[in-house]
Amino acid sequence: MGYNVLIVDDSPIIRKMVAKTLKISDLDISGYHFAENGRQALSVLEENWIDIVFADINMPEMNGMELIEEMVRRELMDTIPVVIISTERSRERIASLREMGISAYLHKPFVPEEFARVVRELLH
Amino acid sequence: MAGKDLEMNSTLKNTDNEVVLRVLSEVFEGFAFMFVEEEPDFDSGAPVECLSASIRFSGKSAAGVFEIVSPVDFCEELAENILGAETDELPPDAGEGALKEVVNVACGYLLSEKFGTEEVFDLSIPVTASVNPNEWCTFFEGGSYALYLVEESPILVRLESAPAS
Repeated sequence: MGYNVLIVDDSPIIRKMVAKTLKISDLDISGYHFAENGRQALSVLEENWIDIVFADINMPEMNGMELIEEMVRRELMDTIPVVIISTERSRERIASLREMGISAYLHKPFVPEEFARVVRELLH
Repeated sequence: MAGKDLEMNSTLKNTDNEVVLRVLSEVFEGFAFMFVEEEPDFDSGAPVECLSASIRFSGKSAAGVFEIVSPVDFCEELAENILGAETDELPPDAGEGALKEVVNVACGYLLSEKFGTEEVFDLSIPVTASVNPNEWCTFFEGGSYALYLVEESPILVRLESAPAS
């Protein structure tokens, strides 16, 4: 049985790009779920089994940091690996994200090979 | 679009210009395998239909705006390259989305190059606006924008920043 992924980004281009990178990376993905912001992501997480979340930080309504805070508070969501894919380069903010429990951090634009390696390590 | 207290620069400052060129090169190449050249004197006339994408930033030491103006057909080509898809496979507004994402990524990268990675900046959500040929000419001649060629397509780039109040 394959993995279910949730891709959270307000940019449809990035949502498609991440999904496409997963599709060509030889990972066993069976379900793709999408959300435009943290609030939508929580709804998806409440209704679906998700194995890994890919999220941006800078999003309207509920940003990536608020999403992580909410996931940490909720049972069953608090153990789902979260990979942040963002433009953020501030050491302080990246350190805060790591303290909040994210599993990995990737800068945009990411290299597909690096992306696949990180995801493979988290899922296996 | 910018606040009146923001400093306006023509070709950006020389140091900014180098940083902007390096960042744009990395972002366009990394995202879309497209190559950037600096062509301050290039003038092929105004493109028929253009789009502007801009993003505001604010941190402890500075605040400002970063903007890219490009022809609409270039935005579509950008989306095709980012997604590795043909035009008819692209989602609606893909070109606009592609330009917004490039502005978003380039701005985050620029800020770390210009101010270092110790500083924390908040970025707005990128916004877009249509730009007509007259506006393009005004931007081009006004001195606030620098011109670059991406795969032979002209883009105008503006970086304005001022010390944070």
